[in-house]
Amino acid sequence: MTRLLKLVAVIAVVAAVAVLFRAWWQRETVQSRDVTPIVATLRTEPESFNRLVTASSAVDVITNLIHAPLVKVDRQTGALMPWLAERWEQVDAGIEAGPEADAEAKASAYQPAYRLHLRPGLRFSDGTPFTSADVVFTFRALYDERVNSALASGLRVDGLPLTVTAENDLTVRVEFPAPYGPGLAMLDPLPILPRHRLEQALAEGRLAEAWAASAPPESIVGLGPFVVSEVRAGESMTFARNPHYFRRDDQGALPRIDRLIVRVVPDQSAEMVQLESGAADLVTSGLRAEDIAAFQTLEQQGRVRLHRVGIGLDPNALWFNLKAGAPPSIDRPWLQRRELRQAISRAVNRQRMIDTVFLGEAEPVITPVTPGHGAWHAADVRPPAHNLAEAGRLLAALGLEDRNGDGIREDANGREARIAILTQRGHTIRERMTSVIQEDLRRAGIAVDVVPLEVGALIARIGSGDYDAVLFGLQSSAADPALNLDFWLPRGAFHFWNPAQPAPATEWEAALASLMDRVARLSDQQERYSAFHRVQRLFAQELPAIYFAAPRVVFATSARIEGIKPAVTMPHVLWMPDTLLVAGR
Amino acid sequence: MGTGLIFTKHEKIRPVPIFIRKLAAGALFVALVSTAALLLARRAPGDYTDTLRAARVSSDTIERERRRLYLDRSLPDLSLIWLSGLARLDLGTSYRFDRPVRSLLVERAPRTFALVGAALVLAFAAGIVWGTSLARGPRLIRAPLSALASLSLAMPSIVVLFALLLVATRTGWLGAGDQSIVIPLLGIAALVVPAAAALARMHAQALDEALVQPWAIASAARGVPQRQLVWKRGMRVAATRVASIAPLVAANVIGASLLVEVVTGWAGLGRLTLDALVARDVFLVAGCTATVSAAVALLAILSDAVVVLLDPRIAAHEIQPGMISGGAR
Amino acid sequence: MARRAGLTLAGLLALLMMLGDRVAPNSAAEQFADRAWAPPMPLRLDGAAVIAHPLRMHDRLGRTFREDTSQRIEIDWFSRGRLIATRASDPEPLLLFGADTLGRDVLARVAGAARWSLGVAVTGSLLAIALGALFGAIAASGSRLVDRLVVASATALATLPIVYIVLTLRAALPLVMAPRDVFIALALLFGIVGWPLTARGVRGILMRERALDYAQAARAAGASRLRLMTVHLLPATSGFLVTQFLILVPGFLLSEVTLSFLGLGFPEPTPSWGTMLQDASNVRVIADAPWMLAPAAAIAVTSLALHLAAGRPLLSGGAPYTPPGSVARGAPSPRSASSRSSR
Repeated sequence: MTRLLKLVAVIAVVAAVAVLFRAWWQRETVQSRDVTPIVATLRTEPESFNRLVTASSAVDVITNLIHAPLVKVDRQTGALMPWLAERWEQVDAGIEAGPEADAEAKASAYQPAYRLHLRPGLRFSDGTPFTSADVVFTFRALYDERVNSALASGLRVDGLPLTVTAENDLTVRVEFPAPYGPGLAMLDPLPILPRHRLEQALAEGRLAEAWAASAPPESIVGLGPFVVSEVRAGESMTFARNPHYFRRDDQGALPRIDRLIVRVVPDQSAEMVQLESGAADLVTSGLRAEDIAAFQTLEQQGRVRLHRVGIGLDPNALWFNLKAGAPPSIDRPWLQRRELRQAISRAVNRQRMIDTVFLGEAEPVITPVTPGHGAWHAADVRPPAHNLAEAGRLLAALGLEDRNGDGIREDANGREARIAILTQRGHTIRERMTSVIQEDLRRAGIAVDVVPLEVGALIARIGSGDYDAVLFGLQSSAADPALNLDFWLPRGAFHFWNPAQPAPATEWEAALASLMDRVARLSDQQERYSAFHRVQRLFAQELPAIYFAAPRVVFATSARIEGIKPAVTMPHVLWMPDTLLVAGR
Repeated sequence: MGTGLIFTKHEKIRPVPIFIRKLAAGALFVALVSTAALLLARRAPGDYTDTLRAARVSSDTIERERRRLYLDRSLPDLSLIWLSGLARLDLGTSYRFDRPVRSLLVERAPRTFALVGAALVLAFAAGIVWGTSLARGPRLIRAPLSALASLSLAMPSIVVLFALLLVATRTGWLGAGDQSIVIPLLGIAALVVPAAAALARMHAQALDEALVQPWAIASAARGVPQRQLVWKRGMRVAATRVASIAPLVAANVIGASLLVEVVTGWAGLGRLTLDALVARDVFLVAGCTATVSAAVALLAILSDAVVVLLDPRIAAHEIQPGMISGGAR
Repeated sequence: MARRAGLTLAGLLALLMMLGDRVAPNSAAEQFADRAWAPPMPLRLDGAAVIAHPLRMHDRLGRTFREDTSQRIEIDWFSRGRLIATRASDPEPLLLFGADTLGRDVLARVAGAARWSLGVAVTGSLLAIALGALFGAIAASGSRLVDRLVVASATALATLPIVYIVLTLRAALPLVMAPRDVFIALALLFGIVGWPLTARGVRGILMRERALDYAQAARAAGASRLRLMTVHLLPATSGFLVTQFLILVPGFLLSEVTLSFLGLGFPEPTPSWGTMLQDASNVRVIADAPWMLAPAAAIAVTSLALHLAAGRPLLSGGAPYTPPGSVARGAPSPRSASSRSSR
C-alpha cells in the first residue's frame, strides 16, 4: 500500500515536471523535426522592416534577406553586380556646357546619366509584377522630406538628389547631378519598395509607421530571397523562401533553403555558445580573440569552419562631442581641444591594447582607414608611439596639471580632469577597450568614468549630443570612401563628433570636405586614392576621433552551411543570403 | 481517517468565505504593489520617448506617441488608467516592444514559471526525502547529510550555477549535449539546491518534533511500525509545516531565478523585467510586478489551503486574514 | 563548534572588508601588460623563503603561460603597506589568484571588492537593524498607526522576492551613478527594505517582555515610558538584533551581486563581486580561466560564514524562518533527545 502510494507520488512528481516543461520542450522538438532551418543570430532586434526609415545593422541584415537593390556591390571584389537591373549603359546627360567653356568647366558641368534595364518578368513576394514605377516610387520615398530618410544623404551628390525617371516599364534613367566616382555603386544600399503597398502610406506621411517592427508579417512585401513569416518580439524572426525570387543558379531557383531563423541574442557570449553547440549556424559578429583557439579545435573536429577574411574595415573609435557649445564643454572647454585628443592618442598604449583585448590579432591604426582598405589606405599615416611624457606635456599645455598631488590633473580652477566615456554594454571588445583606455589615462593623470549603456540608450545619447566622449564603432559596408560620405562630410549624419553641420564648422573640416569632394567626383582612380591619402593625413593630424586598433576579422560558421561568400565587412555572410544551403541536402 | 482519533475534533469550519476574503486581499496586494512599481518607473529619470527623439522621429509623432502611451498624464491619472486596466486584465502597451503587455507576459511568464515550478517541485521532493533521512535515516549517513544541508543552505543559487557550469565545462558535458537543453537544466539544479536544503532542514525539524508528541509515542506503544509512523503520520504533521513555509521558499526561488535566467539566457520574466526597468517601459514594469506579486499571493493562499486541509486543528480563521500568511506567521 | 567557526570566518571577512586590496601584492585597478588571462602563480618554498617564479607568455592566442624558473619573486610580509608584498625592486607582478581578462590581479580585485560588496551589505543591514529597532519600539509602545505599518509592510515584504524589490527601487534612480553614490543609494535601499522584518521581531519581543515582572516592577517604580523602553526593554532584543543582522547581510550581499551583475551596481573599474562575476559569466572564461570565478567562491564563503555564525537555518536570500504553527512556537528543538528516545 505504502509502496504503491510512493510509486504514485514519484509518478506524479515526474509528470508535473514533464508538464511544466512541455511548452518549451515541444518547441525544441518541432524545430528539430523540421528540415533544420539555418539559424542566424542578431545582437539587437530590427526596429523596422524599412531600411529607408531606420539605419541600424540589424535592419541592414533584414533588408538583405527580404529586399533587393537595383545593383549590388560584391563585398569580396568590390565589383558591381547586376541585380534587379540586368544591365545598364552610360548615356549622354543631355545638358551640355557651351562651346566656349574650357575643358575644366566642361568636366564639372558634366552630369553622368545611366540607363538601367530591369529584369523582365519579376514579381514581388505577393505576386505583383515589378516595374520601373516601383523604382521611381522608391526614389520618391527616399527623398521625401517627411520620411526624413536615414539613407537619403548617402544617395545625394553634393547634397543634390539623383533624378530618376521611367523610360518605359522596364527601363529607368538615373541622372547624377554631378560627376561621382563610384557611380551606380551608390545604389547598393537602396532596397526597392513595392509601390502598390506603400504609396498610400507615403502620401499620408506615415511611411515610418507602415513597416514598423510590429507590422503584420504578410504586409511586408519585397523582392528579396526571403519573406517574413513569423516575428516573436525580442526573441526571433522566421523567414520563409520567397517563391517569386528572381535569382537562379545552374541547379535551379534560389534560395535553396526553405526557412531561415534569425534569433535575437543580445549577449555575445551566448551567441558564441550557440555557434559552438550547433544551436546557431551563423552569428553576426566575428570571433573574439579568446574564442579563436577554441574554434580552431572545433574546426579540426569538423564542427565549424573558420573564415579568415583579413583586417577589419570598421575599427572602434573614441570621439569627443565637438558640437560647439555642447553642454559638457561649457565648464570643461579642454574637452574639445585637439591637444587633449593628441595626448590621449599618445597616452594609450596601442600595443598593450592589442595584446590584451585582441590577444595580438589586430593592427594599430589612427584613422578609420585600415590596411584592410587596400590601396585606399595611406601607409605613411601611422599612429604615434606610446609616449606618456609627450602626452603629459600636451595636457599641461591645456592647463591640466596635478595641483594637489593625488595623481589626477586639475584645471586652473582646481576642477578634476574627469571624462565620462559612454560605451556599449555587453559588447566585450568595446568594454575592454574602454577599460584599457581608462587605465592608461589614469596613468596620464586623467580620471575616466566608464558609462556602459544599452545600445539603444547609447545611440539616443549620441543623438541628443549629451555626452563627453563615446567609444563605439560604425559599420562601413564598402571600402570606397565615396560610399561613406555620410561619415566623411561635415554635413553627414554620421560625421558623429559633430553631425549634420549646415556649413563646415572648422577650417580643417572645410578642407576635409573639399578633399572628399575630389574623392567623390574624380573618375581617375589613382587621383582618388591620392586625395584620400591626404584626407587621412589631415584626419590623423586633427584627430576628431581617435582610433586604436583594427582587428583581424575571423569568423566561424557551422560546418553544415555551404554557399558562403565571406566578406570582411558585416554582415560577413548574410550580405549574400540567397546562395546559402545546408550540406548534404 | 485514523488521525481523527488522535486529534480532538474541532467545530466544523467554513473555509470558503475566508478564502474569498484572502483572494480579495491578494488582489489588493497585487494592485498596490504593481501601482507602486508603475509610479516608481514613471518617476524615474529618463523617458521612453528620449530614444524616439534620437531616432529622428518628428516631434508630431513623438507627441502622438506620448498621448498613445499615456506619457502625458499625471501620476494619479496614470494609476487610475493602470488600475482600471488591471481589473479588466488589459495591461496596456509596452513601449519597448510595441506590443500589448499582456501578450508579452503570456509569452514570457510561463517560461519563468516552468523554471521556478520545476525547481520547486524537485526541491520539495528532494527536501522531503532528504529531511526524512536527516531525522530518521541510518546514523551513518545522518552526519554527512546534515553537513551537506548546512553547506547547501548557505549557497546562493548563482554560486551553485557557476559551480555546475564549471563542472560541466571541465567534464565536457556542455560540448556533448545540446546546450539549449543542458544549460537551463543546470539553472533548475542551481535553484533546487538551496531550496531543497532549506526544506530538508525544516522537514527534519518538524518530523523530530512531531514524533515526540504524545500521539506518536502512544502509536508507537500500540505497535504501529516506526516506518509507518515516520512516513505516514509524521509526514502529515511535517508536511503542514513545510506547506506553510512554501511561499517563503518560493519567493526566494523566484528572486534567485532572476540572475539564473540572465546567466543561462532563459528569456523569462526576469530578463523582461530588467529590460522594462532599464527602458523605462512603465506599463511593462507594472505588468511584470503584477505577475510576480500575483504568483506570490496565489502561492500564499494555496499554502494556507494546504495547511488547513492537512491539519484540521488549524481552522481557516486562525490564519491571519492579512494578505499573506504561511511562513510569515 | 560550527558557530564558532562561522564567527571566526565572519571576523576575518570583516578584516578583509576593512583592508580591501591591501591584503594583495597589487592594487585592484592596475592592468599588467602581457598578463591578461594569466593563471594563478604557485608559491614555492626555497629553503626558508617563500618564492614564486614569474610567468612568461607562451602562446598569446591560446593564452598559455610558462613558469620562468630562472627568476624568482621574493615575498615580503607586511611591507609597503600590504599584507603580502613583493620586493620594491622586483618588476614582476605576483598574481596569486591569477589575472583577469585585462591583466588585473584577481586576488586584489576580490579583496578590493569586499570593501564595496560586503561593505554596502553590512552598512545596509546596520541601517535596517537601527530603523527596525526604532520602529519596533514605537510600535510596541502603543502607536497603533506604526504598529499596523510594521505588521503590514513586514508581511508584504516577507512574501515578495527581495531581489525584485531592490531592483525596482534601484532602477527608479539614475541608471549610471558614481561608485560612492551607488554605495549610499544601495545602503539606503537595503535599510528601507530590511527594517520591517526586524521591527516586527523587536515588537514581538518587547510586547512579551513588557508583561514580565521586571518590566512591571520598573514601571511601578515610576520609570518613564522612554526610559522603560531604552534602559529596560531594548537590551532584551540585542540577541535577536545580532542574529537578524547576520541574517540580513548575506541577503543584501546577494542583492548587490545581482544588481552589479545586471549593470545597476558599481561601475568599472570599482571592483565588486557582482561585476567580477559578470565578467566571468561566459563559457569561454569558465572553461579556460576558472580562477576568475574567485568572486563566486568569496560569495559562497561569506554566505556560509554568516549562516554558521547565525547558528540557525535561514533561507538563502536573507529571510529568516521562524517555526510556524502553534505546536512548535517557542519550544526548543528537541532533536537530540528525541532521536535517541525513539529508538
